Amino acid sequence: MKILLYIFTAVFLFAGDIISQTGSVYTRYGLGDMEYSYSARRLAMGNLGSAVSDYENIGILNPASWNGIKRTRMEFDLSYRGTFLSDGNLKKYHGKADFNGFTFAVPVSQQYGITAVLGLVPFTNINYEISQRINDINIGNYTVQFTGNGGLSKLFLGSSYILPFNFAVGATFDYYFGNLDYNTSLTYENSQLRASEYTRNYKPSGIGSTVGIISSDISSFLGTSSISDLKIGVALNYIGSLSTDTSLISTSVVGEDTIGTDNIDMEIPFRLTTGISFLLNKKFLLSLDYSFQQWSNYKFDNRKSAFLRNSFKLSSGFEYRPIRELGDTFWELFFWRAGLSFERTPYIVNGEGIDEFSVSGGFSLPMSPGNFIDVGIMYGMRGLYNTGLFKEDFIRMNVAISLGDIWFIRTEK
Amino acid sequence: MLYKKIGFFLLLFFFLVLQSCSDDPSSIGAELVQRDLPVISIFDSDTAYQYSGSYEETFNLASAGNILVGKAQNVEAVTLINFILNLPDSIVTDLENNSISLNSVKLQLIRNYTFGNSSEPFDLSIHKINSVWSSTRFNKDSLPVLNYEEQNLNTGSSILEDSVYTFELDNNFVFNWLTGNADSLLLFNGLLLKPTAETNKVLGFQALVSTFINLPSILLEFEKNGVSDTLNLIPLADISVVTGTIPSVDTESIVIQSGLTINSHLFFDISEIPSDAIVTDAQLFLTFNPEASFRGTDKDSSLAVYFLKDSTQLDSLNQGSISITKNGNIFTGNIASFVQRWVNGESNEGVVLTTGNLFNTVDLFVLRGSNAAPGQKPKLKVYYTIMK
Repeated sequence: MKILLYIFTAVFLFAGDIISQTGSVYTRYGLGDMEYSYSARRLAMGNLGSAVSDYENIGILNPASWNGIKRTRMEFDLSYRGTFLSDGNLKKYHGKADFNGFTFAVPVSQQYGITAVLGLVPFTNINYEISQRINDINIGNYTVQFTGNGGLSKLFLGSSYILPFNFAVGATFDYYFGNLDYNTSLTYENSQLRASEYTRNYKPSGIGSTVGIISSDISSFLGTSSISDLKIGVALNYIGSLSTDTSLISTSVVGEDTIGTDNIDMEIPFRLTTGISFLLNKKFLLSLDYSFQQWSNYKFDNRKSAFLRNSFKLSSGFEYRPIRELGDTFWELFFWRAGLSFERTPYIVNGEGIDEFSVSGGFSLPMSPGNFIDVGIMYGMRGLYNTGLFKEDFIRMNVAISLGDIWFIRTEK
Repeated sequence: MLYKKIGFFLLLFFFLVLQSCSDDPSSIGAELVQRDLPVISIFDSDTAYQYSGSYEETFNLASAGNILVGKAQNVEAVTLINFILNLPDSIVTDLENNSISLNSVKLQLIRNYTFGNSSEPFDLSIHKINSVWSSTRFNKDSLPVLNYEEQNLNTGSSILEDSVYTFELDNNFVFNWLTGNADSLLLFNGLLLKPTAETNKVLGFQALVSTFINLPSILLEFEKNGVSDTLNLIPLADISVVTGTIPSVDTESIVIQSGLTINSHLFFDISEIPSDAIVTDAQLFLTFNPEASFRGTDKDSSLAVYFLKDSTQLDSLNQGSISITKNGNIFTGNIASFVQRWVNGESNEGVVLTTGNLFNTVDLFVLRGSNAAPGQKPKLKVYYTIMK
């Protein structure tokens, strides 16, 4: 186990050193792309799963899902995203690797489903780099480089609880913080001209909360034995207002100069996710989810954005878990997953809304009881060929180590 | 076995990351970020207030590469120079015993620079200095109180070969002085070199600098029992002083002259440029008046622009100047760093214009000033960017 931790730490450190270069320029708007779920498992199943109580995984979408965790668990996640950009004429590829956060869960009471969870996960992601060559009649040719990077992260602490009638609830206290950098630099072909650079930096911070509920098993109402563990889940992620320090910094021939600072409020609309999940023949898990966020109500310094609209995501997921038997081969140990999703992203550009389709798949490999390596791969596309617009085909891969061990377990007397 | 497979997946991820090279950034999506594109704007001083004027400044010329002597145009230059004596013991003994004679004393100077017509007359009067002086503190204000002998030690037998000037000094005077001061470390308190009344040019000779090539020297030729012995004295310190007046020019002109020294102060009102601007280019244009100017043989025809910290103290120059060079009759240079400092909030006190070779020559530059006609007066053209 230690060796795994060492390897993963090395990978994490190396991945952290990899230059995060480019991604989607759509992330220029709002807070960038939302990270619905940081884990490889959820990615493989369409990225949602609000009604799924996974006893060997720490989901972050619905804190009620932690009610069945029996072991102390720790999860680390790495992600890689490759994006193929095309505007109909030009095609480019960009790749980025990143450390995707960690979570730590401690079961406190199995009887009441109390599991305390702490985590640090990405919440949004901004990442793009564009290079544009311009000709000016006065100063000649010059190149403008636009880059954006950063995003919001979430540090949370929460717990789940089982109510009477086996309803599970959960809540987290969230602290949001981040660094959003938008940089524009100009370099001139005429070597006599001095390069110039502007950086807008936003540092939002604030608190929020995520609450969720998962119903008890209502499969008995269907009257069929092949469907079991039928549950409905609802999760609400509330952020409210983030206090944001803003600055505009210029870099000129004489060095850096802060030419403007301010503190404004950033109002982020809440996100509501609801879904169902059930087991088919005790081996196949299916889930269906709907998530909604009113990005048209997003405000930055009390101003709405003309580039954002209300968004929703519809996803379905599938998981196959074989029943373990003695003498299973290596491949029979795997859990397999697949998913589909459609997202009406928040972005409106040139009057066109940007939609996203994706398919995903993945697997878990049990290393030992309670310990897994999870891999999730998603392929998606969004955007369209239109004046000023472009298409993105992206592939995303998450690799996670999910460790479970018996720590802090008190013997029930 | 299981750990090997785990390692395989991690390595697979590693490999994928390493292999996934990104293409260079492209323009795809550029239309979506145009609101982040800065606007390029132009400031032209033709529509702004400006001021210019000339003034004299006193400098110590100790660090100059030339010592200057002569008079021409509006300037007169003199030089003080000190030589190390340090006679050998044998000569000291012979002088004390009056058993040696001094046949000749020659001052040798190597010419580097000429200001004025080369055919014009040039001669020096050479005087023994009595008062103690320091090259690092001596300037034109010190000259009136300098104590020196009126007697001219120059016998008038000057020899000019190429650029080597040799002046024959009164060897009896020098011998009599040496007899009483044989153990002295210096020859007198140095010599004062002054132009004669007929002189109508200024010459620059190699000064005492870090290099030991072509230094001024004094050659003493001793003779004892029919045998000659030559002693070469090298300089310990030298300093030139240039005096004169600002030449009369019309009200539309400003003057810059090295050596004397005359600088010019130039100010542009750039308040029109926003405080969040980034200066890309700031070209300064100065119109040169070749007819009114007078230059020597120095090859450096550049001017220097200094950032002025306080216009009430015109010597409050920031270290580090920007050189501007001549193209035809226009001096141009990029003073973007100065303009950026003003834009960033430093007080705009203007700039000071000097010659590019402040101490080694007496070159005179006449430029068009702020009262000149549009198209001739100083011009500042600034390209800058601002965020929308």
